Amino acid sequence: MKLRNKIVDLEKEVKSRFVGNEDVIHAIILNQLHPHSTTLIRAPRGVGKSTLMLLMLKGLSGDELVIISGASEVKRGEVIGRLHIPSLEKEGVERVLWASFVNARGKGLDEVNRLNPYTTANIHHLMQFGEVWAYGQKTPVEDYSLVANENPMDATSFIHPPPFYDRFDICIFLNSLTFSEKFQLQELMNEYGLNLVDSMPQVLSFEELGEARKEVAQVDLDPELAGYINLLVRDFQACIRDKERSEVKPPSLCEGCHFIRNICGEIKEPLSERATVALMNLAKAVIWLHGECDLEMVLRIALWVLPHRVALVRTRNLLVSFQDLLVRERIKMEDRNFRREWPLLNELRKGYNNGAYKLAKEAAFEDITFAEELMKLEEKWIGEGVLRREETFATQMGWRTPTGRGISRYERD
Amino acid sequence: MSSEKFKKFLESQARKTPVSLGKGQISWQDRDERKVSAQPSDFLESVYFGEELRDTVVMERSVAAMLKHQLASLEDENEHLRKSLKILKIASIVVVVIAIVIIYNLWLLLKLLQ
Repeated sequence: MKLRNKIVDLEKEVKSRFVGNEDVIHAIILNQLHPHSTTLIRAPRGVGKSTLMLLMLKGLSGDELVIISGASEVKRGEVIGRLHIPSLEKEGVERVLWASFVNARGKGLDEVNRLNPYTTANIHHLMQFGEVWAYGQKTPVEDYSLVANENPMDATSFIHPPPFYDRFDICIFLNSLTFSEKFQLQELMNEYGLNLVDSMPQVLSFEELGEARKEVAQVDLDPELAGYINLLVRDFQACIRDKERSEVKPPSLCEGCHFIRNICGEIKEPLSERATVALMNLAKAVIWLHGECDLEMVLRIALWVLPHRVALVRTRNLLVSFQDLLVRERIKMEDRNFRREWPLLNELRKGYNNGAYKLAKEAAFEDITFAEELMKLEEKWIGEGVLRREETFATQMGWRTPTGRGISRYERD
Repeated sequence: MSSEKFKKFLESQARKTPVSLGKGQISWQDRDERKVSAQPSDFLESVYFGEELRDTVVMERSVAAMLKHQLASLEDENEHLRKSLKILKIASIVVVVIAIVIIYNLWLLLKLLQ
C-alpha cells in the first residue's frame, strides 16, 4: 500500500508542475512499473517534452539523473565510456571508464532525433541486451528508467531505424496548451519561480521503485485479458498474403484481396512481438495500481504502445488514424462475440462437429485471425482422416498451407 | 504444443457466451443485453431487408462507425474511379486527334498519288 501511495504521489507531484496532458502523465507513470522501462515523448518544439522528462526522472532518482542531449555535440563513444589513459601509458592495460550515463538509474535522452547514429547504436544495444560495449569490453547495466523525447518534425533529424524505436515500451504525444491552460502555466511559473524542475522532489528511491516493479511482475493476468491483448496484437500482424515476407507491400499487395477492408489492409509493416510484452506490462501495472483492467483499458493503453511500432499505408494524423483503427478493432471483437467464434473454436478443439465447423467457416471468411486457428485444426483433422483437404476452408478460399511444415504461412494459389 | 492459457481463454469465452451442440447442429441463445443493444439499430434492417424506416433513426455507435468506414472506403473508391475516368477521357481525345491526323495524312497521300 505504501508503495502504491508513493506512485500516486509521484503522479500528483508531476501533475502539480505540468499543465494538461493528464493521460500522458498517467501513461508514463504506469510505464515505470516494470524493469528497464523506456518511454519516448514526441511533441513539437516548446510544448514541454524536456520538462516532463526531467520532472519524471527527478521524481524517481533525484539529482542522480544523467541526460544525453542530441542537440549538443556528443563525442563518439563518450556516452558509454572512454579509455583510462594513465593505465594505458603506465601499465599498457586498456581500462574503460564507464560513463555516468551507463551507471545512472535515471537516464534521459533529449532530442533523440538529433543523436548521431553511433550514439544511437550504443543506446540501442543497451536497451536490447542490458549491457554496453566499449573498446572490446562490456559491462552489464543495472535496472533503470529511460525517458527520451524528440520532435520528429525537426529538420535536422537523423532517421533512426525502426527497430531502435521498437525498443521504447511506449510513445506518447504531447498536446500544446489550450487557452485556459496557458493561464494555469503562468500561475505555476509564478509559484515555482520560473523553474518547475528544480522544485520537483524525489518522491521514491530507486530501491522502492524496484520493489514496486517486483510486485507488479508478480501480478497474474487472467486468461481473458491476456487473450484480448494477444488478439489485438495478432489483428495488427495477420496477413493472408504474408506481408512479413512479401517483397510487395500494401497497398499493392492488397489488390484483389478478400480482406481489403480489414485493418490488415491499412498496415504496411506489422507489429513486433514487443508490443505484446509492453501491453502485458502496462495491464499488470494498471491492475497493481487500480485493482482491475478491462478491454476498454487495453484499447486505451494500445494508443501508447502501437503508433511508433506500426507503419500505416496512409495517414494524415497518426493518432487519429490509430484511434480509428482501435474503434474498428473494438467493433471486430464485438462481432466475434456475436458470431460465437471462440466458443465454436473451443468446441471444435474437443473434436470435429459438422454444424460447428460450418459456422466456424462462415466466421473465418470474415476474420483472418480466426481463420488461422481454424486452418490449424483443419490440418489436424486431415491428419486424423476426419476431413479431406478438398473439403477444407483453406482449399475453398484458395489458401494453401505447406504440408509437413505446420501452419506458419499461407500462400495464395 | 497447446498453451494452457489459450485453452482457458477459449473456455472463459465459452462460459460467457455458451453454445449447445446437437448431432451436427449447434445453437445458442442471445442474451438479454444483446437484444437491448440491438434494439435501436433498425437502420441495418432497412438497408438489408428493405424494411421501412421510422421517422427517427437511432443507431448504435458500432453501426455508425461501420457506416462511416464504409462511406470513407466508397469515397476513396469514387476518387480513384474519377481519376481513372479523367485519364481515359484524355486518352480518348488523344486517340481521336491521332486518328484525325492519320486520316488527313492518308487523304493527302491519296490526293498526291492521283
